[in-house]
Amino acid sequence: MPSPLTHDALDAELAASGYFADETLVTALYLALQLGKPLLLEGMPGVGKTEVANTLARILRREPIRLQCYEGIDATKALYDWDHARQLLHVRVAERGGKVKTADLYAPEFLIEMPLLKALRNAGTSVLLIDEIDRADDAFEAFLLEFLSDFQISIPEIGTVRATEPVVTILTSNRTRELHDALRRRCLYHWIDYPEPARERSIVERHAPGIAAEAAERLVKAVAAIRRLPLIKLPGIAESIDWARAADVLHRDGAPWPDALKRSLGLIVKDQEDLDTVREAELI
Amino acid sequence: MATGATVARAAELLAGFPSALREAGLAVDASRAATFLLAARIAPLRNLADLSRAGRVTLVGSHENFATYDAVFRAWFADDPLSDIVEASDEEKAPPASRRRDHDAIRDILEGEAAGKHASDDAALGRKAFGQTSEADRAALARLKRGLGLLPALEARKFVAFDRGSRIDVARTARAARSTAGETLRLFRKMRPDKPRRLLLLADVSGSMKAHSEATLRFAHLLTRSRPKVETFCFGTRLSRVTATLRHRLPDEALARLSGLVFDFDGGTRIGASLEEFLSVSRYAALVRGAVTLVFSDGLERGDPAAMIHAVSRLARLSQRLIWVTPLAADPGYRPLTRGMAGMLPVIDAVVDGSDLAALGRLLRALPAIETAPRGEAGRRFGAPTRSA
Repeated sequence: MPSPLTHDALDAELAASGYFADETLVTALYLALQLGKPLLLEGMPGVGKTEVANTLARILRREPIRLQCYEGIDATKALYDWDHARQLLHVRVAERGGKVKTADLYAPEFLIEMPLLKALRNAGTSVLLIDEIDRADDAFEAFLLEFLSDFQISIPEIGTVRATEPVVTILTSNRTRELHDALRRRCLYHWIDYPEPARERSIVERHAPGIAAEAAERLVKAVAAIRRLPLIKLPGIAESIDWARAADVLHRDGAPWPDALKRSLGLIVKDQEDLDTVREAELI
Repeated sequence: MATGATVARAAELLAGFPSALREAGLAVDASRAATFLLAARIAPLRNLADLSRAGRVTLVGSHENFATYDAVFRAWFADDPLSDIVEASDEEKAPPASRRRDHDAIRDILEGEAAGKHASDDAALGRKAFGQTSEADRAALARLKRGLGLLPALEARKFVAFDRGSRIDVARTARAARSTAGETLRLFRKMRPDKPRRLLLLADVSGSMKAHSEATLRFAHLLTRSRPKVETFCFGTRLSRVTATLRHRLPDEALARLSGLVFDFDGGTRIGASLEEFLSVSRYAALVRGAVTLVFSDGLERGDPAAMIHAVSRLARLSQRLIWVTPLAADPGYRPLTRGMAGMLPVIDAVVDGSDLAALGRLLRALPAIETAPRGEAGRRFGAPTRSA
C-alpha cells in the first residue's frame, strides 16, 4: 500500500518528530514507502541509522519491530520457534484423556513469533528494523532474501506465511563486512553521512534543549573539527548529543560553558589516544 | 508545457541512463533499472537534483560508487533541457532501446577521478615478472601444505548437533520426545564447532623486499587455496587487495596475474602510510578484528617511523596476535634495533624469519604456540638490553 504521505509531508513530519534528515534520505524513505521496497542504510556508527526506523514508526503510527543481528543468528531466533516445553506438557496432559492429535501440537498457542514472522503477520501496522545486518553471517543474509523480495516465509508445519502488503523494512549496516550484492539489489540504498554543521546544530538543540546558543555553536564547530582529525573512532551524532547533555549538567552546577565542554570531552572522544590528539589540537 | 518531442527525448535519456552507468563499471541489473524508472515516475521531480537523488537511491548499491554515479549523471543529463520538462513526468513515456551517447566523454571523466579500476601503464610503477615454480619450491610447498591443519581456530558462535556436545539441544530432544508420547528417551546434544580463525597477510612488496616477495606470495597462495578466511593485501607505494587473485588454482598463474595487478613491485616503501591507508578503510579494518595478522616486511621505513609505529600499534590492538615476518631475522644474531622496529617491538607478539619457503614452513608450525602465548612476547624477547654488549 502506498503511503498516504507525500514527499514534502514526509519531510515535514520527520523534522517535527525530531529527525532532521537530508534530502536524499527523505527521497529514499518516500520511495521505499511508495515502491514497497526495503531500504538499506549504511553509514558510520552513531549517525542515526536505527533512529530512522523508530522515527518512521512514530510518524506512521505503527509498531516498531526490531531484529538485532549477531554472529550465529538463525531462523529460530529471527522467524519463529516452537514452545517445546509446552508442547510436551500438552502431550502429557492429553495422554490422560486418551487421545493426542498431532495437529493440536502445532496450534498457534505453541508458536513463538520472532520479529520477522511478527512483521509479516502485522504488515500494515508495523515497521521492521533489521539492525546491523553486517554482524550476521552470510547464511543468514541468504535466508533473508526470500523475505525481502516477496515478503513471505515458508514454515514446514504451517505453510507459507505471506504478508498482505509490503512490510516497511529498514536494514542498517555499519560496514564491518561487505554485504552480498544479492541483498543490495533487493533494497533501495542510502548512505547517511555526518550532518553539516547547521543540521547537527538543530539536532543537538532539539535533543539537549538546555544548551545555550553560543555553546551549541561552539560544540558543533568542535565536533566538525574533531571529525577532521586522524582519530581511531570518529564521534557520531549520538556522541554530540551526549556531550551537549553532559556539558549542560556541568553548566547548571555553575561551570562556565567552555569549561563545561572541556571537562565533558570524554563523552565525545572515547579512546585515550584520541583524547590526547584532540587535546593537542586545542579545539575548544 | 513540454512538447511531445521533448518528452520523448526525456524518456530516451532516462531509459539510457542505467546502461550509461553500466558502461562506467557499476553493476546495474535490469531490476534496479526498472526500479529507477518507476521511481522517476512517482517521485516529485522539480529539478535535476531531485532526479539525481532518486537515481542514487535506486541504482547505486554502495557508498564507493557515489562519485562515479555523480560523474556519469552530470555527463548524461547536464547539457539537455531536461530540467524544463521533468515535471511532465505524468505523461506517458515509452522507454525506447538505449542509445550510445558521449560514452567517451563519460570515460574521460571517470579516468580523471576514479581511475583505480583501470590498470594504468604508468612507467614509474614497474611490473614484476615471476618465474615458474622450481622443483625445490614445489617440494617445500608440499611440506608446508601438510602443516596446515595446525593453524589457529576459534570457537564458532553457532551450535551444531554433536553426540558428545557440551549442551543439550532442547528443540531436537523435544521433537524426538513428541513421537514417543512425550517421554524423553534420549537427550540430544549440541556444540560449537571450531571454525578457522582469520589469517590476515599484509605483504610489503617494495624494493627492499624484492628478493623475498615471491616466496611470500607463494606462501600466501598456498594458504588462500587450502584454508577459508585468509585475506592478503600487498603494499609498497600503494595498497592492493589481492585475495581474489590468489584464489586461482595454479600458483604460477596466480602470481603471473599478480604481477599485472600489483603495480608497485620494486617501487619505494611507505609502510606507515600504506598501513594507515589500510586501517582507514573500515571494511578492511574489520578484517583485522580477531585475526592473526602477519606483516611481511623488513620494517625499513624511509624517514620518520612515527606513522608506521602508530599504525602497527593499532593493528596489534585489533588483531588477536600480530606477527612480524622479516627476512632479516634469518640471521641468528638479528636484533630489531632500527628506530622503527624498536618502536614497534612492545606491541608485536613475535618477530620471525621469513626469508624463504622453508622458514615460512617453520613459521606455520610455530603459529599455534604464538597464538596461545601471552601478548607482547617479542618485546620481552628482544627488549632486554643484550648482556654480551
